[in-house]
Amino acid sequence: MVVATRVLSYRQAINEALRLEMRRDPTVILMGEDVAGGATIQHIEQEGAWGGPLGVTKSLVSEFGRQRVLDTPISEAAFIGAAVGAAVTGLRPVAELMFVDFFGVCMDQIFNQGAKLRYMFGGKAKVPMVIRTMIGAGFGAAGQHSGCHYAVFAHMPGLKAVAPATPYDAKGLLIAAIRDDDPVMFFEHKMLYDMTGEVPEGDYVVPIGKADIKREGNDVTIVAISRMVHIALEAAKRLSTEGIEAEVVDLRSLSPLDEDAVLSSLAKTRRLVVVDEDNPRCSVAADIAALAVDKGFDYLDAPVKLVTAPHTPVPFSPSLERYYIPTPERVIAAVREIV
Amino acid sequence: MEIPRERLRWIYERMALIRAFEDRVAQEFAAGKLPGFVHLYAGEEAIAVGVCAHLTDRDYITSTHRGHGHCIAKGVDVKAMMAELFGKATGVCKGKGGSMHIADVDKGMLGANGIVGGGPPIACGAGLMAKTLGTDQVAVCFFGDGAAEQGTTHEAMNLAAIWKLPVVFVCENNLYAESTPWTYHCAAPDIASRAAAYDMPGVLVDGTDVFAVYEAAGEAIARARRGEGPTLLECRAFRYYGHFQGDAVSYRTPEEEAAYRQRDPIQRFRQTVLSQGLLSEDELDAIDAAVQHEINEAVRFAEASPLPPPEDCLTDVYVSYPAEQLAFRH
Amino acid sequence: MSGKQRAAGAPGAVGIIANPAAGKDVRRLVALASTFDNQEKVRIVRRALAGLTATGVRRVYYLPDSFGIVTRAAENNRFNLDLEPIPVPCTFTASDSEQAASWLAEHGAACIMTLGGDGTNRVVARGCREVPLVPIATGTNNVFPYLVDGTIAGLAAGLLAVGQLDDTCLEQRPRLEVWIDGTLVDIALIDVAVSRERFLGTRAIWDPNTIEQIIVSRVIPGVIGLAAVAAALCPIPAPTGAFVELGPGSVSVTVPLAPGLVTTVPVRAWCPVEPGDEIVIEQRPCTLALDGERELRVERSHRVTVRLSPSGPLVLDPRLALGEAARRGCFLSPLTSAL
Repeated sequence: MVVATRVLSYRQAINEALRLEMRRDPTVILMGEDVAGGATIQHIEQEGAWGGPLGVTKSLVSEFGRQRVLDTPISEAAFIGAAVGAAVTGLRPVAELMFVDFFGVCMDQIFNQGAKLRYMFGGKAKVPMVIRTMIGAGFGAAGQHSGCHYAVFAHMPGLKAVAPATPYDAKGLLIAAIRDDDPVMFFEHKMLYDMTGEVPEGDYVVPIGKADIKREGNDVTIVAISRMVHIALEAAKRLSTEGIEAEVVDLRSLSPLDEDAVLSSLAKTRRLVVVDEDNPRCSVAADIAALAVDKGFDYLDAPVKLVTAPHTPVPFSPSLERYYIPTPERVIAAVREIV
Repeated sequence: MEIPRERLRWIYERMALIRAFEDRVAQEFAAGKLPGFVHLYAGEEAIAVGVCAHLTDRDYITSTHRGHGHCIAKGVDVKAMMAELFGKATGVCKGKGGSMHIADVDKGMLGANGIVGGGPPIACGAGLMAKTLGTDQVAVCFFGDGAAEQGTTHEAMNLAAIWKLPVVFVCENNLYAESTPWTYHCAAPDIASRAAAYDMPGVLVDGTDVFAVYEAAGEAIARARRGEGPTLLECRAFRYYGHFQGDAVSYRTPEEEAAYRQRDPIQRFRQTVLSQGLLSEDELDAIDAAVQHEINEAVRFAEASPLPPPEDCLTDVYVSYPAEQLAFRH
Repeated sequence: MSGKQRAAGAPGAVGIIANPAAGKDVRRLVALASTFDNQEKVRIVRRALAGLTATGVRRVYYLPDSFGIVTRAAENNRFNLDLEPIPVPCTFTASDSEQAASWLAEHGAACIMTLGGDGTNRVVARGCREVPLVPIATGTNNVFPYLVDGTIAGLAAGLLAVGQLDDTCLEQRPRLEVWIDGTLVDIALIDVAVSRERFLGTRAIWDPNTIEQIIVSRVIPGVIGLAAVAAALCPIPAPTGAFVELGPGSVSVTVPLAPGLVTTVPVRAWCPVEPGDEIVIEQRPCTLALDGERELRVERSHRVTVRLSPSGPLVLDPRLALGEAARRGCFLSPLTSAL
């Protein structure tokens, strides 16, 4: 069967995934601050206002109504916790934590409740919820609206964590996340919302726990996450002009981790660079490096190199923020050190 | 308020079962047979039972670290509970939850909770489910006076109020958050009245009188089922044991504790039904005997049950996840 | 300080009994009663203390409740009053108020300010003997107390306590006495209802279908509660009471049975009740509700009578008291200089 595709933005792809799943399954609901927007304001009650601060959930309320697209008060602990309670009792809520940096105000509900209920209840409960949340620097949003912090969640048993880099993956992974019976953290990079790409019509699933080779190559493996996949691809393109063919592995899932994809690419290239916009200490990048050393030591012909953000909060000034975010140049420099 | 005879028997049996369970747990804990912490509910039986008398298995409750009473009132199997406290494979949570996380979703019991204030948002979620699917289920959120000071409790009451969720917030005010008196930890020591801030009814109830709790909870739950939104009940009662077993309870005087016993919920129930000839002494004594037997059986069952195999540590984390990634690396 | 010493120094002292439980019963749920939060009671007492201070009162005895209404109101004793807790054991029950009132009567308090509704004043009246009450309404049904600002009540109580007003300002209210087998077991200030309810439960009474008979101490128009039934039937002036038998029969009256609860009550028969009259309660077993709250369970074997007595508590009406004080010229100079 030929499936029609068209070009959609990352934002539209996410919107479409939500729309399709809400049509398919009446137990799917959206909740979050301004996910519809303008609740009770009569002239926009039907169509909503913002559709999320960056318009990702725009117009979903006009199709599904305020009963299923719920504007919440700015009470993350209450509505993330309500998502946990709704999930454990039969709904499939998709809650939006506007910026991941806000996890501090609701973390108990995520990691002590949502993540642990199934285990503490001896497997009797399931918690099929998704928390969509925005990550990433580049917007000039500074210290409390720009972090990645997905390592915090990948660290926690009971949670799954995915971070798509393309519109195609965003749609397929979000559908998979909504259908998944475990709580899934879904990390959307705010700098990717306007990025476009081919997206099939209709529903399809990108399986959670599967990485994707975004570019093949034999000389070095570059494992990257979310927006860093595009930084890695840019670096690979430039390296190619020098005759170095990098293989770019888009991790897509942070927990579970596609260890086989990383190790088999490493077995082929024997060199590894990890590009991660998160802070370096106890990071996903560090986890990948540990994996390579533990299970791929015999493949390695050179030290593993990590290209990450510094161990600082995200700064405000454009010059500082540019310095903070990993660049193709830094990736190229890292590759040159080991190739 | 009419209470059918069978319901009266049930109320007494559940209260007696909670008391017997907790007294026995205290003994077994003192004998070193139970790992971890236990927080006992004795003295507060009228609250859990008076409320849960209006619920079915399809309704939900969230509980607290002091959750055994809520489990029993909600109909969780006592054998499986005792086995859980012993850390046995036959436990209601397969030995993975213990006292502080004891739960049985099949009975609508969404878990004791080791986090003070952990339950209120979850109760909102259960209420949201009922509202979204258009069922007549309700969610009852039990929380203590300590949790009354948690932000989650206030956020949840507000959320339930703006969405008119079928949630009943039941504050079990036992006067002390751990060893801190509520008159200290509460700026305006008055929890029921806080409901006014969320435009919901707030009612002060004698939590040592099961008839008072039964009547107030019946009205609140009926209101929730009618879709009229949440209610806050502040039920004042006393916990006979300390905050946890091992607490020397130096913050209370013997006189204070003796005064509590004067208002014992089980004795008060007995007096009321006996003086009115609603149940007979023989009948109540027979229930007591049956309850003792049930507790003895539960302990026997728990002691005879095997510990979970160690590798069970690795199951029930997720519905699906690569098994090798759950295990330790080496 | 012992009780005896207090007795010697007590003239001019004012008692305060603020019921922390008043205004919070189930009628918030089954009717539309206001919540009287304890912070408001603190503010009322604070204003009352200001009024008392202005009149020159130095000594205030108060019921030490678990909320600390009076101590909070005193704000580190900004009023420089001699504030003393009444030494009664705190049992968190209504008996605390009764014990406190008895203690105040024994120790010669000039008057007792109460904060509560009909229920609170009933309990205080059981213990206060000849000590006048200055009742401030903070309850659910407030037929007995005055809806008055604490400042005014404080000034009135203070003027009485320092001797600027005298007994001629006082009004003696009637009371209903409940006699069981020849013993006076309890009293009501406003009404006694014979209820079919088996259990005392939440105590409040709001369902007319459970009520057989009502006896009111005085027919007062414009009240809420069971007394409203008599008021709707018998527009007779005080001091006459009334007896009303409910049930299908002669008429129905539409009355406010609780705040916000206006309902139609069928009446079989009614008649006036004069002071000294006794009514025998035939319906047994039954529950007697006193001033709107189920209080007594009566068995079949009991002989129960309700007697209307003219000798209820003495009450000071704050507004009338201030009018009288003005006539006496009390306000023409600083109040305390009169001492």
